Amino acid sequence: MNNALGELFSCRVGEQWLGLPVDQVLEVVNHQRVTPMPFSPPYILGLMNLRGQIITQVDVRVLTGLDVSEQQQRVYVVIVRSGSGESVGLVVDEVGSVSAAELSAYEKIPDTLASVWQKVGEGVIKDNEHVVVIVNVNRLLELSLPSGQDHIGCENTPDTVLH
Amino acid sequence: MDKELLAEFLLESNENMSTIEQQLMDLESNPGDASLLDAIFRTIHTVKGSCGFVGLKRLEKVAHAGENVLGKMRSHPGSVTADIISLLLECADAIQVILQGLQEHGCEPVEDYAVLIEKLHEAESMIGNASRQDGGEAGQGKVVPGWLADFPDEGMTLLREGLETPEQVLQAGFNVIKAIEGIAAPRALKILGAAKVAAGKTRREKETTEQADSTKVDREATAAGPAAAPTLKVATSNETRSEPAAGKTSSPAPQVTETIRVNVSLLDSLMNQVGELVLTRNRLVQLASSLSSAALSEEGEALDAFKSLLPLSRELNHITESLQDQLLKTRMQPVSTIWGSVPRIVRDIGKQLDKKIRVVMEGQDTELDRTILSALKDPLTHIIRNSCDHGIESPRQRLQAGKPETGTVTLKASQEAGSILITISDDGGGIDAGKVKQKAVDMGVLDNSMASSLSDAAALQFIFHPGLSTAEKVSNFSGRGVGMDVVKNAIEKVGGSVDIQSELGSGTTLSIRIPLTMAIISGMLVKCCNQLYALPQISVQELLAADADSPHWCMVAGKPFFRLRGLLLPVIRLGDALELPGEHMNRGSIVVISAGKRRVGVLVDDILGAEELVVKPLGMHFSEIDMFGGCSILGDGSVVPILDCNGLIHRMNIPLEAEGVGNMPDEVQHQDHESDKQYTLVFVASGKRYAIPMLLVERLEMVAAGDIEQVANREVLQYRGQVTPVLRWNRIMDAEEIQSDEFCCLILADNDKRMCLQVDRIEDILEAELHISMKSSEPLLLGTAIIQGKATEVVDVFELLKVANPDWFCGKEDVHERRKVLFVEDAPFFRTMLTPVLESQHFEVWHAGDGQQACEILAEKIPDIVLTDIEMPRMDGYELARRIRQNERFEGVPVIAIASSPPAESDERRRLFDVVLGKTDKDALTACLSEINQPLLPRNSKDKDVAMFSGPMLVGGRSGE
Repeated sequence: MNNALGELFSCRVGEQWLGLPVDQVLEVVNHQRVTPMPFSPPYILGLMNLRGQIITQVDVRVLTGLDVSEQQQRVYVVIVRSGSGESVGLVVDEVGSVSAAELSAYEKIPDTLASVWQKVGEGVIKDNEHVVVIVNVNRLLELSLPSGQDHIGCENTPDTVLH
Repeated sequence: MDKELLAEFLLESNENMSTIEQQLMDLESNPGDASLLDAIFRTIHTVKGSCGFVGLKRLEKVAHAGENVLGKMRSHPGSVTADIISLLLECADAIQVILQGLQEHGCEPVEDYAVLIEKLHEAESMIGNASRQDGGEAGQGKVVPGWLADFPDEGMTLLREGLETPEQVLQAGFNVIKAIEGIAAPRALKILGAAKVAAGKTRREKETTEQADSTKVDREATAAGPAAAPTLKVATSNETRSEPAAGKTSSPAPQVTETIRVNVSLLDSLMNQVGELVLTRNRLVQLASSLSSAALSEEGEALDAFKSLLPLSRELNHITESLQDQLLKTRMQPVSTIWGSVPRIVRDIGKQLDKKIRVVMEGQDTELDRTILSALKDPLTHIIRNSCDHGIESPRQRLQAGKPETGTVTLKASQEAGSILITISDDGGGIDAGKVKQKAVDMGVLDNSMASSLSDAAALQFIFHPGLSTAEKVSNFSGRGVGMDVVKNAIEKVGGSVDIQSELGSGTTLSIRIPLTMAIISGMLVKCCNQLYALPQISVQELLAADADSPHWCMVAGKPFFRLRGLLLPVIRLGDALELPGEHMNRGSIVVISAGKRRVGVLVDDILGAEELVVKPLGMHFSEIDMFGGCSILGDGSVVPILDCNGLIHRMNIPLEAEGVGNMPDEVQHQDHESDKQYTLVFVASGKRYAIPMLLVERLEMVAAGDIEQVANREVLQYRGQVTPVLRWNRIMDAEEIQSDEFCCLILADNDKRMCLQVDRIEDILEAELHISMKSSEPLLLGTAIIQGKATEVVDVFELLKVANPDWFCGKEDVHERRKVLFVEDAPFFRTMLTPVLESQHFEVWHAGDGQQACEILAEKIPDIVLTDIEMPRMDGYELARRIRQNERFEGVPVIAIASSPPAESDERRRLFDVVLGKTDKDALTACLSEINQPLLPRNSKDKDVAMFSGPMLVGGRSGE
């Protein structure tokens, strides 16, 4: 778990704050025009052009089972680098700040958290305001792949919606 | 120098020369192979012959010297020796160096190869002498080296003992030499003395070759024997290597296209910058246009500023476009850049393993992204080595298996349905799937039960497993167990895939498919459900408008089909195929695509046009969807997915039966009515329907009233630079004429003559049976037919043409009976050179690549003239002429020989031809042909023809008439 305790970039999805390892976060852009792609699950919003680079937008909110219609329309796209070096855009509701995660604040993921976070989380950091799930970006992206769909499909039942 | 001609010459010569090394090597091992010698002679001969055409003096000299040697070799069987072969190889090298120089600098290198030419001349004169001197013994294939010239008898003995070079003799020493049977002690001493002198010369020669007066020494060195050959070769290659530098100092090389290496990551970032520039440009363009329209009401300076903004934005637009364009080009390179080394690799391996292998390469100009190319280089080399090493069998095995002795490795590159396909195939022994299985079992990758149930094709895939090689012996080139897995990884790294097919006994084919990734393609932009998609232009065959009420639509088994020229075209509604929301109707436009052998229509809402697209890869989320070949960014910055036509068809799973349904009615129709049905145009004039066969309708045009001019009492139209008579159908029919600014006209054309028929309106073009049910009394009408259930008058086109131009059919005989010339020529270069000459003389040209092919053509039809090259593979011009002479069918058909080196005046074989012309003497050919192409003589005056061309003629001239 040592590797999870570097600097974290925080962002919010629904009511859940997430911490992404800062070395995998490339930049944050405002929501841009996307070209929807056929045969995509609803959490794949489509393709965007980021300065000549084609980036797939993954709506983390839909991926983690939130009802987007209730969410605010103004969103941010966090560009992250996957384990294979591909840049992917994660659509989130709000972006926070970069902060060092302290070992003292680290805890294992509580059972009370939705199962999707159990899957992609490495643990949680509790600070004064929120409980931040430390997200393993690679696992999160795996979840969004067509092959990853199967195993969330069976567990992502309606009662796993966020608390 | 004519650039195009030069390019063609280079292309052909390079092609020819690429095999000559191998051919020479083959000749060395098969000295008695006369046909091989002929082939080599022809190659050099063609190069030489073409040189004269393109005006390459130096190259011509070198090739000429080589040709002379080869010519002499042909007339002296048994003269093939290792020395001569190395000399000829050197000559081939020199030719290649010059060709390379031509390719790179556009002119011949300054090196004049005097030394080499001198040596070739030397060798040429040696051939005759050697065979005279040695008599029967020359059959051994060895010539007494020059330094032993004074000891002809002892020389042969020494050679038999394997003592060829002065060094070898010196090393053997006096005692050994004198012990050899047939060499007396005093002679042995003398031989040793001669050897010492010769060896000294060779050593000296090494030091002096680079001096200007090396020619003479070289000649002595050549005379000094084979020992000198290797050293000489080094020296020559040194010279040629230093040559380009010398060329640069003496004359600044013209037309040099320099290449630079660019860091690919730099290029990538440049590419992105250009992308940004495009976006900025777009904003500016938009701003400028909105400002300029808003500023019209304003006054003064602001207006001026706005005015200048517009041209500025245009300029920016222009710069950006060209920048983008050029930058993209820097990334693309033809496949030939990495294939260049292949023939040599193959030759080296072939030499080392004693195999005979030739390389065939196709599609070398297929362009690939340079990153992909460089990533492919090593895998390719590896695969080729594998093919040569494991694939191609030894010549003995091949002969036993009933295959040609020489194995073939074929490389092909092509752009196929949106991806680049490279195949490397050999006609070797194939891979034994059983062995692969066994090996896999041995390695523990596979267990026995799995192995037995595994299909052969699946087993072959284990070739790509790390550490697996079926070669029994590990060789220098492959079979160390590192290999195919590395190859596979390297190819997959650039997004490609590799597939192997092999048939035991007949060969192996590796197919590397590289997706469009990074390549630039031309794409057809289409719109469907308000979203843009691109289809690779390469798959697009035609575009059709398909309105909802079009009668061409039909549903078969619940699937849409579109009737296109009598064929049922299966249609994919793109909206359905992409599972886009909404109901998709049979309405919009159809893009007819072909993928593999299938042809389907893709129904879209709208077609926007073609655009050059930079293909970008899709992310990992789409890797399992085979319907997309990538995506691209349009001018406005939006992303457009590129559809993969194969995937599209695959996805739609058009059942074969449906295609069967699609084709069947058509076939039935064809069987039933093929002879009756024809394309017919139906037009309307004064409310009546008329039909005219499409056969003679060249175009349909809207002609402005002003374009029709009055000349004398006729109306004419200037159409494509021709004065074309205009007929108004209503006027002919004595009907009322409609006045209009624009007329609907049919352009009827036949034999370069045109007429324009003005009608009121064109109703339809359809395939119909013109069954005339009622004859007409009108001169211009054939009668009445029922078309589409309506009575339609059928126009008598030929009468109509006569009305337009009474002389229409005069002189037609001439045109129709264009005289036929059978042009037999093996070199494509001359074919392309001379065909226009022939066509300009109104000859119909039948091409044959050699005498045999010509005979095949002659078996079917009789030409008016035969024009033939003399030197050709399979069957030469003499043999062809002989056969023509022997066959009565061709009595009176003149046979003209065109030769770059015509047979001597005294040569009896000359009499086989009516005329012998120099190949490059275009004028003489033209004159000779126009003589023959006089208006047709009555058939009974054949004798006159013969008389005109009887007897041998002078080269380049005509005999007295």
